[in-house]
Amino acid sequence: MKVRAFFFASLREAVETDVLDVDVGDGASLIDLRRCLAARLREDQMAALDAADVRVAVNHRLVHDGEASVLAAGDEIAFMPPVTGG
Amino acid sequence: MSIRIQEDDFSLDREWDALRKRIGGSAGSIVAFAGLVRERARAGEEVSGLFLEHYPGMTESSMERIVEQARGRWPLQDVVVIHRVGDLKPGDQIVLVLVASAHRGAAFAGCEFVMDMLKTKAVFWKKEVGTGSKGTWIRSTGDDFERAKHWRNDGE
Repeated sequence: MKVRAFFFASLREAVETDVLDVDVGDGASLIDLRRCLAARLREDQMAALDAADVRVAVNHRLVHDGEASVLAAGDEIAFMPPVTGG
Repeated sequence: MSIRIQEDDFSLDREWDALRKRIGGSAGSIVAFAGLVRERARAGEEVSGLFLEHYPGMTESSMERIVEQARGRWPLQDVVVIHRVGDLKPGDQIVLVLVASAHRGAAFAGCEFVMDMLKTKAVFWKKEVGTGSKGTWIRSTGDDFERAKHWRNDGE
């Protein structure tokens, strides 16, 4: 199944794209998605995504320590650096 | 109520008039805050502008949640939040918050709360342009987090 990974701000620049369509196996988790991304991205790009202050949202909802949560086809997974609005 | 994200500039006059029309005589006060692009970064370097990025859909929900929280804490008649995205120049308006309430206490507090939460919880990213070759992505400061935290400790 396919999911879409979105990258914002400094992560978009690090990964050099704002979105990647990723083929993950049925029942894949965020950990599996990271594995698929690691196969496509450079080490320094993965390091940016793996930084401790990066938050992940699945379908616009922040996921807290939910790396084991199961993804569904068409899910939108966003990798977001710390926000600064206002 | 009006919560918007836009590239275009906004007019305080227009928003003010529209808000006054909506609230009629139900509110006794409006507090307004506008955030502008500074010509200098925190470190003192001159910046040629800011680039603001958002996540369509999620950013709107994050702003709606902030306004909902404010309305849960104070009796607010109406709230306007306009946040710009894209390329901005020093002196440009970035954000507008208007809060209407029966009395000024709630309007002042509600406006400050919305701004403090926009700084730390709303889904936006800001880059200072003109500092270094690629620009600098801004991080919330300790002061931003302290201000946001103070609302958590206050009366809860």
